[in-house]
Amino acid sequence: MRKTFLFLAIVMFSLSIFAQDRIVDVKVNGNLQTSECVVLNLMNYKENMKVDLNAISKAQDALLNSGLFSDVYMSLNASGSNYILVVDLKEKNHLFPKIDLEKGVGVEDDDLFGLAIGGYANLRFFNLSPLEVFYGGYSMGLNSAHILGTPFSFNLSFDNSKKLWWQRSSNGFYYNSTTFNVGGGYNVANFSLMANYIYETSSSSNVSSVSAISLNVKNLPQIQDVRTYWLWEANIEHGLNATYTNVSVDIENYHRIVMQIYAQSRIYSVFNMGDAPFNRKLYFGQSNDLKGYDQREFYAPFMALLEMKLGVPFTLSFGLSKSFKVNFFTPELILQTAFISDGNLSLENFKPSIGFGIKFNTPFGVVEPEVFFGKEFGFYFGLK
Amino acid sequence: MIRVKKILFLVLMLSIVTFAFANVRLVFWHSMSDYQKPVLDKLVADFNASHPQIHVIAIYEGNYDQMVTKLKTALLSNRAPDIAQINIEHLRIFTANDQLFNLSGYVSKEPELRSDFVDSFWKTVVINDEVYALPFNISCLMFYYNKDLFRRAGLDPNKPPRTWKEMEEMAKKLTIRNSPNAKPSQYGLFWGVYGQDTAFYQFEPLIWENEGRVFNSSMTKCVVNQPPAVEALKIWKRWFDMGISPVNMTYQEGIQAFMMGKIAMGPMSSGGTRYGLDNLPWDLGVAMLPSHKATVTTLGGGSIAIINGTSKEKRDAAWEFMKWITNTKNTLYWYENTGYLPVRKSALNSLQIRLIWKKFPQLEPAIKAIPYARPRPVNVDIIQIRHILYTAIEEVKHSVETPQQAFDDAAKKVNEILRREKSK
Repeated sequence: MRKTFLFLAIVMFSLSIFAQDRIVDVKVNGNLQTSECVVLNLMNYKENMKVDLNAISKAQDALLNSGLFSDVYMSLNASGSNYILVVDLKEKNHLFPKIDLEKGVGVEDDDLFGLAIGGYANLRFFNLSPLEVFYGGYSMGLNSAHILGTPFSFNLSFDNSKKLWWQRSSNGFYYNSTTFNVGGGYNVANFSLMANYIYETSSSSNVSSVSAISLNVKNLPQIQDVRTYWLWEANIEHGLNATYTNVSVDIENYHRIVMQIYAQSRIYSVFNMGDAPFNRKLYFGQSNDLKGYDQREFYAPFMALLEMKLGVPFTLSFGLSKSFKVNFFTPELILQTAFISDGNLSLENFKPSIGFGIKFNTPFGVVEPEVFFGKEFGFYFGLK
Repeated sequence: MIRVKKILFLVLMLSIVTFAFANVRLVFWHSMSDYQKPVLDKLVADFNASHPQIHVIAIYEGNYDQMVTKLKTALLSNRAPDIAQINIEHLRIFTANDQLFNLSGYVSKEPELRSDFVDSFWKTVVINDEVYALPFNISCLMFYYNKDLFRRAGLDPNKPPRTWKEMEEMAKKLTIRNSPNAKPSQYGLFWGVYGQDTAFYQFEPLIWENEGRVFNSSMTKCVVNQPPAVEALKIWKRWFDMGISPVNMTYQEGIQAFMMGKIAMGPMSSGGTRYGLDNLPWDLGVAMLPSHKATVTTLGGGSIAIINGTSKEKRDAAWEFMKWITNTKNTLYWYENTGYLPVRKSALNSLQIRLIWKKFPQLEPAIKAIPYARPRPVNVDIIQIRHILYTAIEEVKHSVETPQQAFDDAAKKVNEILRREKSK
């Protein structure tokens, strides 16, 4: 009886070790720049893994969601009683221009040396609102949402900005700032966690240099053709040599109403707690939050921004778009209302703004000119 | 300065020479508009990028019927394209006048190519044992339904009707009236029949599922006035009389009403599945057509053919393009982004198709419908014949004629056309 049991145990063990339908190798084609090890890491390929449709589907999604590839085609070739997984890739363009009202004009390569590491360099020399040309410093950095395709992420940036505008209630002033940021993180499931160390000096602050740590958590957008999705991000920053803590929470919802017509809503809240030097305060009034107001005009202890967008995508021939693939330009109506807390609740605390923008899909990226009417008229421009 | 001018002149000449001689330029007329066009354009761009010696220029030339008219005119004036997408039912119109290049020579050199095409699709491009096209955008008629309306009516959204009887019962539950005698604010069913391009497409499976036929097997006689087809027409008419299906809606209006959630279910081409998923504001369900005495659906769509009279160099390049655009990878890309069926057996058995189903499960039922999909009967005068048949069912729908009278009249007119053809 014992011998029979032992024999059966050996047979079962052998079957589990030498089971068939396993992926014994992966052949990667079409990765002209991205290294094969990045592809294999993104796929989470384990040698001799079982042929599991769910795992292969996740691997395909991971490659598409990495932002490095536009096409991922997978096939299985028989190899004896096992398989070789063939992955045919088409790489996206990795080098593209960047235009940002705050950070200036620059270039970015999101796959430096084929290691899934992005690098950028920007030069600040102009301002569209109000229109002026000046030398405004530079910024550069390296980052990766998945170093070598692994779940680890990092961020390293250096920003030397000159002539930044800070709005006071009575009058504003220009200041210079130098910021160094280093951080590392980890992606688990569809979430990203990242911790950063920040060191910043400012020409006009009562605190000449600030050291701080921050923790950031956000969900990672998945490339799926869905009618509704949510994006959210939370950030907490704590001063090491200054007694302050800042918290921000950003929640965004996209909903396709009918055809390609969509509504997008966003709630962005910030808490400035403690005695932060002015250059580390979270503020409203610039190109990525409350528009139609002076730059950095509001920095109250609590502020919230509600933004609603309605977009109607059109094709190149001015027809209503029936597929995201044929979207050429998208007029957007944008409504913003910010609540700036000063301890009271009155109409004065609400800062409304109405804007109109058009997104153009071009070979260089999405070009977004916008005009806003808030306290004043503002023109904004971005290339993403 | 003179030297700079010389260099510029040389560069200009080199560019002209490269454009004029290095590339074989192929003009490709097609009928893919709206959401299908960018998918086709992407494939053509990928082909051009991967084949520097060949440059395909894809031009939209209207729907399938318009393509026939334009191509006929172009052939008469010697301005025909090199390649054209032709509806599988219209191939005979051109082969009858020897206007399509016979591909049998190319095919015989590549037997593995022939054996990889789905057999029922391949048959649609073979005329008198000769191959005149490659199947490209093949579709079949599927049953679309609004899962949200199913849920609201207390029906299981994952159990669409399997039979005509179940469909009638569900359509009654899905038809909503604000008061008993009021016009429905929501209809349960729209078995619309398109009267223009590919006319009568949606009606043929009703005849087949009732074990009837439109023509005899040799296509020499129209038998649509025989009892099974007439009975199918009576049942179809009953759906309007019961008030579960709107009478005064054109096909296009019906599709719009379905999109707006005012109609719960109806038959539509599998080629529109991805359009539905990308544009509808509600949860789309796709299933096989409900069965009756038999389970059948209609095969439709287009093929790609080489126009006769092009040079050998262009024919070789066109053949390369046709093979490439229908290869396993590209037919799956086309399927994923439109809903048209993959034309290769290797695609149906691929890993990639299973990955596509995980993302878009609504694309899977059309693949399961392939064994039940029947090509439509074809004839050189098929456009005229289909319009006669369509007019007949419209007259029944509006109670101008009884089903028997309408199909008797239609059969008489169609048989007259068939007799004339035979005497030519």
